[in-house]
Amino acid sequence: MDNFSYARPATLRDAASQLGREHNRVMLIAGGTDVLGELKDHLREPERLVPIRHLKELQGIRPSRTGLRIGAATLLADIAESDVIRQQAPVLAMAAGKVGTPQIRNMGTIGGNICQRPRCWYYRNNYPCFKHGGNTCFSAAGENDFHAILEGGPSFIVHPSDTAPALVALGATVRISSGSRERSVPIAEFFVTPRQDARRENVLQPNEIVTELEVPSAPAGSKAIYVKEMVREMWDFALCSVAAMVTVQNGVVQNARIVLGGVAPRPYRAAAAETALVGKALDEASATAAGEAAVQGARPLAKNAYKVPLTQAVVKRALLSLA
Amino acid sequence: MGSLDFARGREVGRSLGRLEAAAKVDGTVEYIHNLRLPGMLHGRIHRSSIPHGRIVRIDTSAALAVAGVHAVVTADDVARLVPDPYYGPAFHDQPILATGKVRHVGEPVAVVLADNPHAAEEAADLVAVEYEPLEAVFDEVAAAAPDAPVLHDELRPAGMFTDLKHLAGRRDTNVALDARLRSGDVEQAFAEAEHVFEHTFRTGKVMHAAFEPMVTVAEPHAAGGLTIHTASQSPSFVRSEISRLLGWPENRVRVRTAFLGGGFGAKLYIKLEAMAAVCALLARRPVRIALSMDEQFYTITKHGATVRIKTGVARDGRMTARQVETFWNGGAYADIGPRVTQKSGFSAAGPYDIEHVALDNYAVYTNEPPAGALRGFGISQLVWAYERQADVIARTLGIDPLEFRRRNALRNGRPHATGTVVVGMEVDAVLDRLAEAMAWDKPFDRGTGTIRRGRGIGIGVKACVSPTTSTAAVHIYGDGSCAVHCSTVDMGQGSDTTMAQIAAEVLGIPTTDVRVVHPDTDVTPYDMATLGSRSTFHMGNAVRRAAEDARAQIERMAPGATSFRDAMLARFAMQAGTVVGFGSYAPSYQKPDPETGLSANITPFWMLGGAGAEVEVDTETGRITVTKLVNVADVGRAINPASVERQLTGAAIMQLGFTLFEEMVFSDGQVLNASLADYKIPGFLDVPRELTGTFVEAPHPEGPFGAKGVGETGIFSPSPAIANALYDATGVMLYDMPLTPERVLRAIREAGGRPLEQA
Repeated sequence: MDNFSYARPATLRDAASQLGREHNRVMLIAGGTDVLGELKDHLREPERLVPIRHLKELQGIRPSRTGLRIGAATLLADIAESDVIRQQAPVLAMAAGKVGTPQIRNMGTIGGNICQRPRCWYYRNNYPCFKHGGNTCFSAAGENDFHAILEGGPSFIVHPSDTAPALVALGATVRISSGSRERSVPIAEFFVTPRQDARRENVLQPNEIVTELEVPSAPAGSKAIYVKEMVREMWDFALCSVAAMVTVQNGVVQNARIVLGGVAPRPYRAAAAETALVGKALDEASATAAGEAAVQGARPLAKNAYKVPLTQAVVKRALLSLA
Repeated sequence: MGSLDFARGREVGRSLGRLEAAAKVDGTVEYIHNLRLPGMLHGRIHRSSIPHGRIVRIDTSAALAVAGVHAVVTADDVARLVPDPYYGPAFHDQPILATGKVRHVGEPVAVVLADNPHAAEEAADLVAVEYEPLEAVFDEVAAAAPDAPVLHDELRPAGMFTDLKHLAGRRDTNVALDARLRSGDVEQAFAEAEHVFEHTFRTGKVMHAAFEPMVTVAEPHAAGGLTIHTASQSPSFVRSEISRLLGWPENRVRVRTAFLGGGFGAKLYIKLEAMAAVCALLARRPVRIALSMDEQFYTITKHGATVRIKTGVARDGRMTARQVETFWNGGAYADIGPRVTQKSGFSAAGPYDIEHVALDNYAVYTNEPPAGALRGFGISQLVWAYERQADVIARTLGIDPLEFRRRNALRNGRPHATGTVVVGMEVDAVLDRLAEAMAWDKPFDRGTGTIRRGRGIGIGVKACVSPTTSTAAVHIYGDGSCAVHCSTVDMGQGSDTTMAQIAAEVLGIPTTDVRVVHPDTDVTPYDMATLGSRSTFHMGNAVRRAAEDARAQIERMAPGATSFRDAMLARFAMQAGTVVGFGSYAPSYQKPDPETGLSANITPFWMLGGAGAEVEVDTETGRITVTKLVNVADVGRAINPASVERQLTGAAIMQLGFTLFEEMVFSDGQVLNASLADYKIPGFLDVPRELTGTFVEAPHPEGPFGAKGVGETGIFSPSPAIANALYDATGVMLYDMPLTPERVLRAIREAGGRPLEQA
């Protein structure tokens, strides 16, 4: 990796004041599990790194009026093992527990996990693609086994985060600070499609820092699960994952949240699948129908058509496990 | 036996722990990776970004301007020292640094030498190379065609292998070697066969992924010599090849190794040694070149292969004819590819008694990174083909797969396809053990719903590479203690302990009292290399003979002494002196006939490995879960049974990765997944719930205490066993490795009349 300066800020405001007006010249680093890989592979060559994992404004899991407030620097391992998160937002604890390996979960933070960059191998090999400022997605006519089947184009990356689908299912809000100004963004609006912005995966401005996640408690009586399908059993990104949360009353689904990871450039809320489920008994037939609805509109590329039946099966099974 | 008061027979056959186990656990064991020398420079390689092209210009000015940079070495600098800078074990085709043109992405073009690795890395990126791109070719079949772009102007076989001499000067071809075998009359036999089966199987390129990446430190001497500290499996070869390149006598080059953090064939012959040596001589300072994991993907790989296999079968299920045409994707430089091609190629009839055999093998240059040895030297690519086909034949004919193999087994006393009469190969015993371990005759749960269960077996054979030589010395020191000097490299396979056991057995002392001195060409005598499962057999014989020599000398010089200590005192009149026993071993061999490939003595021993797998196939996700994997080897005799079992289970896990996950993905010669995050080797959670390594013993007449090699045996058969289990579970045929969810699901859907694209 290239040389960079490194200054440890004392406060959030200090940290934000070091950020510039353009992406990549100054980079934040928390756990570093993604950033260091990017630096070593020369994907980004910042002049300065600003460490933020120690900032007290980014710490802690606290109760809020509607649920929990989770500091962006909270470790994934702590989220996976937190009793209060397991009780109030179990799908998030499950998703955090599926990230990488124990080593990665003990370094990586929740803020970093939702802001991580794509795993696309063209991006990681520094091809001049959209993500690197170019105007081509090399996967479209290339090696696209692991790329998007939904919401793809012009870039066909998939969002790699495990916690993001869980947070979308829970309806979390992302708290963002530029030091002088704070804003809250519903997490579904935090992520962007490539049509909105092919260069970036979220709305974060160059001078902004994710400080906190406001996570509403899962609805009373709801059940949830996070299922992740991988090439191997560990240290892998999702071929397809699903965060599913349903509330069943009197044998009928009242409410359903089904959010997919690994199949679209952002966490993909499968609204059609939710619709297919609500008002039905949660059984083989409705779960199968929801699985089919989840991939409605899928447009697979040459080498990733397998993700369509795979996603159907994963959604169906996730739902049946909640029945 | 003299009157030395200790017995033989206590050490061989025992499951002793590794001599170095404690030092490995507490981190004090020596690896070259950790070596730092005073005044040492760090070398970093600037690599080609294109697969094929002429080098128009190299601009090193920006790199030289980086603080801490000492020099930037290019082919022009190399030429000042080494006028003919091409090296290789089979062909002298690989330049120390790209000379005139580049032939694969990642080929070393320049080396930056700097005070620290960070400056070297920064500067390496600043080397600017202008290329005139040439048309590239990647597929091994396309590259063998007459109209393909040609990588090398002419073939330059090395002198070491006389059977390659006829290739010298051959032009306008990417086929580095065509090796054939003809036995009987296949055409006639196919015409008479009841059934003829014809398939094409493919395997992609994979990488060794040794956890210690390649590393070399070259240290020039003021007096005009050179010490090369290197993580190498072949120190003797490194010495001779570096000497040849420099035009020096071998006694000016010292090559030493320590423990290796894995080798698997990646660290054979010349890798970084020539480059580090030249850099050190130019800079007149020690130079360390250490690769990252990512760089290894551009250094050496396993051969991808296309195998066209045609087999004729009689009504009774006996195979009567086999024709195999194999294209080996050798990448841009031959490395040991021509040996892989020939030595593995002739084994394509498998452990079967087939009367009519015709085999054609092509070692093909392509614009991919060089391919060489990887645990098995090409055998697993062929077993993948013939053992997958075996199950198709068995199923088509309605014969149980195990019974089909028994019916065709090649037995001792019968000629192998090469004409060599088989000795010491126990096909029936291996099949029996496999049947037992797999409970083959018991009812089998075939699963329900979307989970289909199946089981499969495979069996493969390799002829140990020949002819090769090992030599060893056993030293008895003044106090009676003992050391084995041999150039076998312990790269994790446990050879130190094995050699110590063999010496201890002969000397009648505990294994733990034997010191094994690590390879150092100034100290330890010649060995061909640590490869091809040859060490236990060849070096084991040399060590046994050296120990016998030492013991005989002691018995002669001090008859009646009751210990080595007393013997030394008696002979030297004080507690001092040295006794050196020497041993060497080189098996007999007959070169194959150049026209027919036939030989009456092709190998000193046959390695035979069978595997059985039980799998669960998820028909909705395409996921294969291997629930049980059994590796059975015919080992002659186990010197250290626990060590043998670990070789077999370790090989099973390695091959499981190649079968299910691992494949280098290329885009115009660039490796898209050149990192362990994206190139997926198995983790512990991928290890089958039931994993067994087991062996049958039938002492080999020429092996040390009856032992044969086993380092590769476990790699042969797990892949077809797993794919045959998939076939058993679902009825789908896959021809290409690895068995990814994409391929499995595609095949299942097609078989079910619902192709993926109509999902």
